[in-house]
Amino acid sequence: MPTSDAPRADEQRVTTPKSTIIRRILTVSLILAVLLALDVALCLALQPYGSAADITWYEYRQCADEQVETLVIGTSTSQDGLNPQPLNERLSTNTVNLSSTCQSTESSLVILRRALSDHPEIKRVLLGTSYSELESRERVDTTTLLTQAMATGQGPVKAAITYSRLFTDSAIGTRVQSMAALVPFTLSHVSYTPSAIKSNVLTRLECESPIEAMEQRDSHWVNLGHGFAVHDVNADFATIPFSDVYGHFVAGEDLDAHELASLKKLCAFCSSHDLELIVFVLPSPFFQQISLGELYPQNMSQVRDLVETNGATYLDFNLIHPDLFSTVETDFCDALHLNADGALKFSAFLGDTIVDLESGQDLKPRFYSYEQWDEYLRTTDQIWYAFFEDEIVGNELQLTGIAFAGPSCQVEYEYALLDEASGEWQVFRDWSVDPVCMLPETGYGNVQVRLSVRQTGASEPERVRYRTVTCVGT
Amino acid sequence: MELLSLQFIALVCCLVPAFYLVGKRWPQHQWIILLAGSLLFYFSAGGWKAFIYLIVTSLDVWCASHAIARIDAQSKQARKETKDRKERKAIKERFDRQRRRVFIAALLIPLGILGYFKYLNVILFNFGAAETPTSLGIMLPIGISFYTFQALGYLIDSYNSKYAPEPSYPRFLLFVSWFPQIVQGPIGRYDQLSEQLLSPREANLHGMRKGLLRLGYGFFKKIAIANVIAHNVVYIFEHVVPGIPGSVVVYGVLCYSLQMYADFSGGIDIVEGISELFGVTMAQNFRQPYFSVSLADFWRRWHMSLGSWMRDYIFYPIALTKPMQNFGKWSRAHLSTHVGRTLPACIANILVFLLVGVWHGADWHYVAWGLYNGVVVALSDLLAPTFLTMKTKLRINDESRWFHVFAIIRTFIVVNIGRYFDCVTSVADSFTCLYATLFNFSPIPYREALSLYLVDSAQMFGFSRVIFIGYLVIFIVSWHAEKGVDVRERILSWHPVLRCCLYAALGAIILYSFGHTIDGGGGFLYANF
Repeated sequence: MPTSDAPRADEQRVTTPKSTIIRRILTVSLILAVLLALDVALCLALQPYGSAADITWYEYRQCADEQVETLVIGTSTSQDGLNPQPLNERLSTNTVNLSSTCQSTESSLVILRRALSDHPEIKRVLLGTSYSELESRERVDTTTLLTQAMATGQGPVKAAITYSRLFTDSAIGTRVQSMAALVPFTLSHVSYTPSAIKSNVLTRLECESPIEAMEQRDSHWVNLGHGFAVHDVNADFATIPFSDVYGHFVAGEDLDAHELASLKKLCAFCSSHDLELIVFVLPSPFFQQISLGELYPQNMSQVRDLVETNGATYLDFNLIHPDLFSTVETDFCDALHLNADGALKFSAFLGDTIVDLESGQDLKPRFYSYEQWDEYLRTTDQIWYAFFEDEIVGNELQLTGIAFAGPSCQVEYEYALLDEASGEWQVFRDWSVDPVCMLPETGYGNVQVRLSVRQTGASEPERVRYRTVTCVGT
Repeated sequence: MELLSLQFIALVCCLVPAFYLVGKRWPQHQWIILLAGSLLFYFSAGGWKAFIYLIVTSLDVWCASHAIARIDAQSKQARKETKDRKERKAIKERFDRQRRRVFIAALLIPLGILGYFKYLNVILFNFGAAETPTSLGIMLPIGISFYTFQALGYLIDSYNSKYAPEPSYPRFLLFVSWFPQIVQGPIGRYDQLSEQLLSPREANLHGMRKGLLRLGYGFFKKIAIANVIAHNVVYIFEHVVPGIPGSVVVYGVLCYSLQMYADFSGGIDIVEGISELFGVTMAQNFRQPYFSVSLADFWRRWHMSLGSWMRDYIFYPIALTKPMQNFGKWSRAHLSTHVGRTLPACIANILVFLLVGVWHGADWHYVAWGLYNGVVVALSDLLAPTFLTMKTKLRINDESRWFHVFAIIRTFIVVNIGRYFDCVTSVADSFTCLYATLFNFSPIPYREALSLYLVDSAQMFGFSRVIFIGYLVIFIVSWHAEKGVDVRERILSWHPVLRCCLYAALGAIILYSFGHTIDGGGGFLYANF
């Protein structure tokens, strides 16, 4: 027995007049149009004006009439880790940078296709990648925001085609998070307060370009034009959170299969279009590689083999011989990205390297191979990073020190507690090679703990980390 | 393809007009659109391997139902040919044995597939043949429990000659694979669902508006409540330590209760809302369960399709077996009439809940959860005369409103005690939490205890307003539904401006929550059963 109250088509048909059907279609269309208009209005009001993606694609539209021979694509490491001036000088080229935050390789290919159709003169493609991007699944939020930026300035049909990618890409459109593509302002928004929204709207109305808006928002951000930008700030390794360290946040042991498949497609695309493709890994702080241990050479060698098998060049600048090029703490603005000084230094070296490559020189002797991982690790003899974790064990708090150092370093740990009354640090666990200790505090509350690390035999600590921990107590 | 994704929305947006357009021209073939959409969805969501298992299960059950019908026809024919009563009895027994063999063989295949995916790794682990309960990497095909139960229900009904077998395999496949419900139910019955799926129907705008409203309500529950709460629940119960404050545990259990309801019933609302777009009304799966007056009542209101499936295909067959009947007689003779009448049902109940527990997962805490529910339901049946005597002596009027409220609160507490074995993944930790609730409730101030056990207490407190509003909305809707009000009809009868205000307010809450939980929320809790 049918339990639905929907009429059956084989019962007596009542033909709906055409005018009613037309009215219904118009009503639905009107509702959809209103919702779309509301969506656009909310995006304009809530999405911060002058995002990195906005600026990149704004600059790209500005150089529509220029000759572009070199295209940079990839993740945020190549977005804010390169300086076009030394690069262009050395390569005698005009470069555009279309890298963006967490840009997946699939997105890089989409961008390359678009750039090539706009600038058929492109002959060189530089793909800047990173371990974290190759290891993680494509992020819906960054891809949606990138797509939105790409569609800006396009006509409705082209914009619809650009957006359609979010539906058809199996790494995006099949996931719950893909619903955010319908409401992109939920992905990136100013604070939901009237003052923040008003300020954002005014910024949009008053600023002549998204560049101006970004400069107002972030005084350390320096625009270099053509999609290049750098951060004029130095990282302090003593305050970098552990959540920014590769070894802590990488999801699993294998690289993402979809990323590798996309990389292969990109190599094949470049090969079939006679484009020179250089896949390069920008230098990151040494502790990032140490934190991954064997995973780094194990996985990145797969990337190297895939790229070289498909006719492209692979350069991992983390493994460059230190006498040729090396980075120091003051070259970075955070745990992953080069700052202004680092970008300038690296871009010059990258330009020189590409010139040597194109002149036929063999670059392999300049780099350690992944098979020489242990030799590479031995090039450092310092402690790069220190941190400690806390964990409730029974009714006590257990502290575990973490130090990323060269293999020849024997690390010692010292723990101290801040006495709030006197303002003095009281050592509660003296120097020891054991990273684990129990916090002696009883009772409940927050305390300041200091971890100092040094190499055995040294008199002074090499790294110090301060943290507030919460005691459990009884 | 997940149930809430761009591709799924695109699929529904294409299927709905296609369904009605085909219906205008070729009404007899309208069901083919639903079948194509269902198979496309399942193939995309589960992959080709999962698709094959679906085909194998459905083909097995369909063939078996025809084989059983053929045996019945042969039996009838053979018995007609003889007038001797003894011979006819012998013939019947012979054919009955044959149909039983076919039935059991047909049962074993889908149950075997389900058992392999759900329990093989755990069984091997318990016998030391696997490193961990998940080391073999056996991935459960999406929706396997739901379509298996649905197909088996049809098989059992066919065996019991409830209806003639469906002549067309593709039509039967549509019943098994109907895409909105295949991921997490409700478990449909062939006689209720197939007629709706297979008969041609015209677009009913009012029905579709009701469906959209239900869809929106499901979204609200899932995104604005379930996803927001999920993180807190996970964090608390992943960090159970001997000194955990009971206040934190109670907070976690209450959150889990709300999350469970919002996630599961929200998902069902989405499923049923989508079905209503096609003019298909699915079996009700939730009926304001937190207004239940007893645990038995709760299980008649929560996941109703599973409850009725277990009742019809497990409970009654067990309770009505000869050994159980004999046991009942013995109990009547040696204990009391009431006990004799109730005990077989109590034992059957305990077994059913044990099965439901194991179905949730091959973990001891689920077994404990199932046993707890079974024992409480059984005891309340057994002790019913005692409770009646107590109420009489204490002059408690159980028809009064106050007693009704008391019964609801009592049931809520009883249900949530069971949740200690559901949301905590080890039995030992469950007892630690129970001990903490009773004897270590508030060793440190509540707010500080919560911030100790939650990653971001500022976010938690910020979201408490969203959760409170969400809870209020669910309460108001459930309250009216409990009073017999058709809430959707009521809302659709409001002035359009008022309706728009309601939609805008709830939409704003959904959008606010969506942005903050986009990485944490994810799929539905019951999607991997």
